[in-house]
Amino acid sequence: MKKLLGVTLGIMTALGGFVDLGQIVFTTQAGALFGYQLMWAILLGTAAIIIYMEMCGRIAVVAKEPVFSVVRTRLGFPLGLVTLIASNLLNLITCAAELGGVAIVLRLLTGWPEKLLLIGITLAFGAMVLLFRFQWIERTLGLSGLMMIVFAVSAVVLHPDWNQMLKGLLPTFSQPDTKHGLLYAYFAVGIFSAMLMEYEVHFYSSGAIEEDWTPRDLGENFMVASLGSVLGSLLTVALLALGALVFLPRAIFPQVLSSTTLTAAIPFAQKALVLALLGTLACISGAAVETALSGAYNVCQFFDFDWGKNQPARSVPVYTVTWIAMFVLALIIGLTGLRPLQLVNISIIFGMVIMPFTYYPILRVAADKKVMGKHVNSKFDTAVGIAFLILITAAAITAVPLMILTHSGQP
Amino acid sequence: MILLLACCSHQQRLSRDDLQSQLTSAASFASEAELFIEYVQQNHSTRAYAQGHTDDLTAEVKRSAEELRDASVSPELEPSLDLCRTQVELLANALSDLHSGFANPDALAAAKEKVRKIEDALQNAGSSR
Repeated sequence: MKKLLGVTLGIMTALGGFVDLGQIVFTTQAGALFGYQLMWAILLGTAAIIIYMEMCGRIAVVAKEPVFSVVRTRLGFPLGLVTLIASNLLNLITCAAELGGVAIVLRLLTGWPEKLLLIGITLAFGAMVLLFRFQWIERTLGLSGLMMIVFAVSAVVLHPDWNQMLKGLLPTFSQPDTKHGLLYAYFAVGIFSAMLMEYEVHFYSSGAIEEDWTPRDLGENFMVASLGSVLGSLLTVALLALGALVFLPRAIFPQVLSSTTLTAAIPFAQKALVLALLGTLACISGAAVETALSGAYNVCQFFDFDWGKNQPARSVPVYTVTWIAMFVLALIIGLTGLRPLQLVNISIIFGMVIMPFTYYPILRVAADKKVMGKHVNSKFDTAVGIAFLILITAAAITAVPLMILTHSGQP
Repeated sequence: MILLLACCSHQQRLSRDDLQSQLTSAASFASEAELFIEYVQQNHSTRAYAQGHTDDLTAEVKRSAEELRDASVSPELEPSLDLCRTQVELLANALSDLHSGFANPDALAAAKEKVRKIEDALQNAGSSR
């Protein structure tokens, strides 16, 4: 039972991590534009996040080093500090976008004013993080995120073209014109980036330490990383398929969150719509909490302050003040009227740009026999890790030019 | 910097491609509105969702209308820009009117017809360019 409940860390990390506001809208848009042609980006992203999430969990257990401690020791203080500032700026933008997304979904459920809901939900999340133990936060948000399965059921009921889906596992190099070629590359980079968002590994490795994992839990680490990520990627595939099935034939390019929830409800009646909204609410809430907590984990781990969600709030003052500040600043950004989808587009691309600085130190430590002992990477792990790091770096270099050339993915 | 770059990507002077993109986007909104009206007609939506989704679509269409109002194009593209402006304004009005008609099947049918005409006009303009 403990092992079963332990999986919720992976589920919350993956659902809140890559089935967040950005991924929900971005993937549906990709399906609406290119059908199943970007399935390969989901496959690549899934493999990459499993490999790196497992490495992070292993480092946390064996070396007792969470991600930002690794970043500081391997990148050195100056570059590490730049990475910390960039990562926390990214966490803040993403947290603001996710809080905005939660307020939108609650408005769609209740009809209440969005700004009031934004304030209310931020206070509610603050109270939740303050009062609940880490395990209960992850279980509540991770398990309620499973309501997103309604998206997968709808995709199956609408009869996707399985052959085309399989063909989509290989990249398509011929697009009708340069514009479509650039858009195709932009969405490929965006999907890949959204699946590897840095806060997932920050949160996951910190969670492994919060839950007192030991080397005996390393088998569970792989299972948790794999199960959570595969589940998240299946839901991402469902979103892509729904975009292809509902929007592509009608030449619709969805630009609001409420459109994507409609896709899950199309084959069914009201209950499916409510379930789709609740599932979306849970996933986006998970992302909001993950990003706020990740901000606090990062600062404390980098500067070696005491941290831990399960510690009394007053005994870890920097940690407590930082996650509260993350929520407060995100709320202020949300109240300025910046649209959540605008913010999330920026966070996905910005996240890609700084991604190599998060994943490179992880790979170096996981492959270091002096630190990891008998739990060091196998040659295969390191080779696959390097291959993905090259891909991550290539995507990081192209992310901003593609965003400019495609006007942030406008067809 | 990225925020700045994202903001700068919205140009006032539209090229042929930009105008095509605006026409495609407007036709997409019209098509989406039609799909949504069909969904409401089947009595599958909740009231809060219907109101909220309509608000979101209307806000996006109005934003698009504002962009078009401020935009300029080369003389040969003026007729297409005018048509796009007119149809997007009509779509924004049709969506605003939808609020009072969710429980009225006749109003929904009329709104759907209106939106379909807008979509046809935008698609014709897009394909003739």
